[in-house]
Amino acid sequence: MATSNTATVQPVYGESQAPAAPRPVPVADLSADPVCTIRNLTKSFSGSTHILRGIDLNIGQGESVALIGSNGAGKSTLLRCLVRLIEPNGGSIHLLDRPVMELGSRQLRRLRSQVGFVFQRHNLVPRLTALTNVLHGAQATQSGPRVWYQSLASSETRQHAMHCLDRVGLSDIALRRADQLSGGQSQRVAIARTLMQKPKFVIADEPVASLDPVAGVEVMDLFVQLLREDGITLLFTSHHLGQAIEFSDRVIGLQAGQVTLNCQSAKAHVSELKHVYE
Amino acid sequence: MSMNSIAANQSRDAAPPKPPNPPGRFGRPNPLAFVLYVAAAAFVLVALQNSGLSIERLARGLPSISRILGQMFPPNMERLGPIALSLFETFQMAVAGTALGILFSLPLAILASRGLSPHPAVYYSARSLISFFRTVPDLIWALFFVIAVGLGPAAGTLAIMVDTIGFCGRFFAEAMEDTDTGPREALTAIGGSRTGMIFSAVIPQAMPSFINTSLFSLEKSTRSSVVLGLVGAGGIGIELKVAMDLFTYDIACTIILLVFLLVLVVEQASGYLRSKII
Repeated sequence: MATSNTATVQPVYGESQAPAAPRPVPVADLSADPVCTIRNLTKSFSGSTHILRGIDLNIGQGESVALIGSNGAGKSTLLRCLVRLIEPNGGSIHLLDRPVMELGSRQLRRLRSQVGFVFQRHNLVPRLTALTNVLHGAQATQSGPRVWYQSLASSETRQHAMHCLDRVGLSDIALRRADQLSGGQSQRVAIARTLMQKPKFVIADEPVASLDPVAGVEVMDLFVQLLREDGITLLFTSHHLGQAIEFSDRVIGLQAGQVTLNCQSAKAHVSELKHVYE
Repeated sequence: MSMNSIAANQSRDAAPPKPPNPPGRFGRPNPLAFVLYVAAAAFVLVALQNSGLSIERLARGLPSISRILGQMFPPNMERLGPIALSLFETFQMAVAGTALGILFSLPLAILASRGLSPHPAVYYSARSLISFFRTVPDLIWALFFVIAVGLGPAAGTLAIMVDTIGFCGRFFAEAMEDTDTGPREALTAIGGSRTGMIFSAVIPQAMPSFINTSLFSLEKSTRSSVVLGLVGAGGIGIELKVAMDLFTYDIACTIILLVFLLVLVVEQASGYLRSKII
């Protein structure tokens, strides 16, 4: 992952000279074999509130992409549209070689099983143990009561869930209830749940926004490191520009539902990314 | 002294601006609401008048009340054994009816929950059925089942079961609708099945409410089961009716005291369980 935050913003395509302020950027074809291709994606609510206005984007295999933008810019809507948790109005999405917009409900479930989703609010089941919450990640590929509760799970599945908890450093509190965990621990359990799923692509919607700065960096560091170990592609949103640069290969800026910035993190600088919020 | 400092002193000496007056204590009702209030109050007065209740009538009834109370005490313990057995049968009816009712109300409640029901038509049908079970009084259900399955505790158990479905079905459905949608979204996002989502994300969250409602339902059923015997649906109600019909008020007093004791024990036990489990 890129660590430099001193270079100036360079659009991936376009003029070589960095612009003073972000402006619409052509689609970056960073990868010859993108795992996610978005073309002219639009979404409006109630027919009049336009959230996404023709998004074009490519994400390459193993890439880590940060999505930045002010509140209401359309970041969360874009992430949810990728797996049709929100139905887009138009455009096309190809994710993991599948035309997302054309999938039937069964095929969509099959696609979703390969896409991890980490939420800002962790979205753990509060009364269940950390281990059971991790085990729920197996519902992506298995069904039935054996993946509902850890006490009903097979030895192999329980072992795998423990391994995932161990990777996030929480194997010692496997039987602690989720509502008794700290914010950082909860998000680690959510990450372990994602690892349990064995995804090929991970979407994270402000994964550390509810954590304090120190815990946020620790969790983000662990999260990105684990995904890199497994070669998983990551698309995440963040309001923390330093983290967006540090933990990504590329930063994409959204303004009023349009991509206005698309630059390599190694060449990005916090002060210039701030223009996306103007 | 400069002009600026003079101006600053003058502004400091000036009286602070008076805050605006608070709004009126009561808003003026709109004409329609006013008419409805008056109509409701008039209806209550008419209902009281038509009920035939009066101070004079109550005063005339006081000697009869004291005569009956005099004949009730001391309670007659001669038939304590058969009465206790009958009371136990009553409690068994309550427990069995409540257990069956809870069992059947859970799937019905799922179908009657917004967001969990598979189709709006199913949702409205399930809601209507639950409302029907709830609005028809348990005594009428008992009459119906006495005709259907004959005299005895089976009719009472069925009546309690239907009444419990009406009670628990509604509250279970509302409890599930009130659960945090985050865990549901998390499992939907990874391609989990609807059944898996309900059993591993919704029901665990609604469980405290389920337990609470079930215990209240048992209390309610215990009270109801006493009355159901009056129409031949088993239990102690028939004993009470016979005692009243034969003017053996001392035996009736024993029955009433034992019923009071049973209801008190059930309420205390359910209160204790509620505090321990929830």
